[in-house]
Amino acid sequence: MIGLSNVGKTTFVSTMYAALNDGYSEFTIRSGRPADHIRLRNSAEQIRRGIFPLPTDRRSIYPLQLWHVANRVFDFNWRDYRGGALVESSTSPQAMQLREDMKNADGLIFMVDSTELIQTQQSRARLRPVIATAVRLLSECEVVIPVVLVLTKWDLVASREKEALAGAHSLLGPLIDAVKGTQHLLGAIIPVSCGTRPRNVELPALWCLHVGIFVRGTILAQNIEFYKQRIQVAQRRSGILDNIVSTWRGEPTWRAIAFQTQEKMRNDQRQLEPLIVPSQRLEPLFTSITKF
Amino acid sequence: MADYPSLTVTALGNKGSGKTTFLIGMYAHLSAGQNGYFLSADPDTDLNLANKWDKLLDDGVLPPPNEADNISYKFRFLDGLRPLLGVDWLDYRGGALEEETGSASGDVAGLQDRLRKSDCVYLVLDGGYLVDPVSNATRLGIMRRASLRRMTSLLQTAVDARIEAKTSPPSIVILITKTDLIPPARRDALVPDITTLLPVCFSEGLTTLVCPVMLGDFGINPEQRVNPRDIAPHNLHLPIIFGLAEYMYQLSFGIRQMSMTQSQRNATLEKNLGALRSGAGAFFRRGKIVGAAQELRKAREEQETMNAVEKAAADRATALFDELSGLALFRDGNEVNR
Repeated sequence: MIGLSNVGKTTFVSTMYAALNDGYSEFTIRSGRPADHIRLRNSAEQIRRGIFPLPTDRRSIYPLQLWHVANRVFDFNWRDYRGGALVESSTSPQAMQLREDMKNADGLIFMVDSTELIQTQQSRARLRPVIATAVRLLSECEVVIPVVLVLTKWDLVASREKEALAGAHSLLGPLIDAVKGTQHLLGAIIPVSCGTRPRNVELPALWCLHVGIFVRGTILAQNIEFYKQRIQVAQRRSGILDNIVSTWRGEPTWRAIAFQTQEKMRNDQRQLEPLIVPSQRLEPLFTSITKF
Repeated sequence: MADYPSLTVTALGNKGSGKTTFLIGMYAHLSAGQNGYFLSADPDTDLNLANKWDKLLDDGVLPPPNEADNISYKFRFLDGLRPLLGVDWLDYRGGALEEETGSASGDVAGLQDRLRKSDCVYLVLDGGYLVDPVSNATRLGIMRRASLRRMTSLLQTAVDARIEAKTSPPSIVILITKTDLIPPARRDALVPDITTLLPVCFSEGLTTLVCPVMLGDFGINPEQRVNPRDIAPHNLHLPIIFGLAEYMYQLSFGIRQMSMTQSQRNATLEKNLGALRSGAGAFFRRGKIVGAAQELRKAREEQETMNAVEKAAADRATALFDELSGLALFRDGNEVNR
């Protein structure tokens, strides 16, 4: 999760956790650490009453789990930063840590303050560090990852929604078009509100998980296909003669290879199976958002 | 290791001409994206340049001129998220042009070496010198005050050196900064003045873009602090677009030449193969025939690759030159754009 100071990252993570912990559609999110669960829920409760948390003064990592009904589908780490780290030079250890983490992330959520979308020359300059960071990171990324542009504080621009949308189009348009031009980056733009009446707070995390499940499912499906072919080859080559020759050479027999590969295939099938239904259930949740 | 080529750019201009301010504005503009193109830098360079731009936008403080060192910047020019070109940019210390350091100075020797390596040279001219039309009476004074004679001499030396080394001369951008100082009616009629002041840029073999730019409308005598509300950048992204367009144009031209040579080679190979295959003795030349056929197939594949690269570079050059419509572009002294 990447954004400048005061964009609302800490507020968002608490609100998102509480909403998904309560459940959204058939999905829930649970924390891997009870202390995080209590802290995030308490913070979300305060936000609901209109008391917003202080900005983060350090990097926080939340180990979280996605559950679909009673199945634990996916474990993931959510990273929150002190906003200032994004605009600090390499002399800052936190800036260096952030840059390293950004490079290794499996999903990137860029937070944009919606009130900055009301067009001025300054808005462009204020959003520029996030856009420049996104471009630098994404231009070096070659794997399939989700990219979410979260427009925070959308409730504050509700009365000027058209203007804010036009600003988003103008200021973020080049970045959106650039992501659209790739095959491997799966983008979504999601306006969110926290505070007393949360809106869309579940969707950024679910979009990332949706893509994450898709990527993992694709890899597992490819593995399974490969194992199937390998088993066929091994079965064709196995027999009494192979048993004698392979034993004589001290190599595993084709029969043993077929058996081991079957085990691997079953293991991947076991991992793939619980992803199928959640993936199907997640898909319709994003019909109302703009994907790119 | 980056798998894209690099463009070496050197900006020359006297102290206060606006080289550094232009660079900062150009980076701020292009790093947020412009017409599908982005300029990207490492995070520290990004912060360094952006901080100066933010200071201008927040407090109206114009960036201080670079008086200390020649500063080198490395950028990546991207089409969407695809890197097209590395850009090696040298912001040359402005004061150095005005100092009579002599050819023995390391500064001058270093600059000459740098210019020899440059694919694109920016000659930066303060728009304040062009408020009134250039006349015989004012020409020499402007050339002296703007260090144009020195720039001309350095450029000529670099062009001669590159021609001698059988490399194409650098493309040239005559960057007119602070265009807001020039009366609006004159802004589209600056070319005659520029050809009078910098005739070398309109010689045979050179490609030159005349590009007026401005950061905003700051009035006749702007101070070090301006009103941020007057900031309205204009044309800042076009000079780098031109550098890239010209690079792609030269690339497509060079590959076309190679492709023509390859065509001749293919024709010779075909002829040789035909000769080997003809006649009663062909049966006894089977080994040679197979070898010649393989060589011909490989040569044809190479030519196909060249043609594909040439087309991609030419298409890219056309698209980029389209962005420059409205600006005066000269090839061999003849205007080819607008």
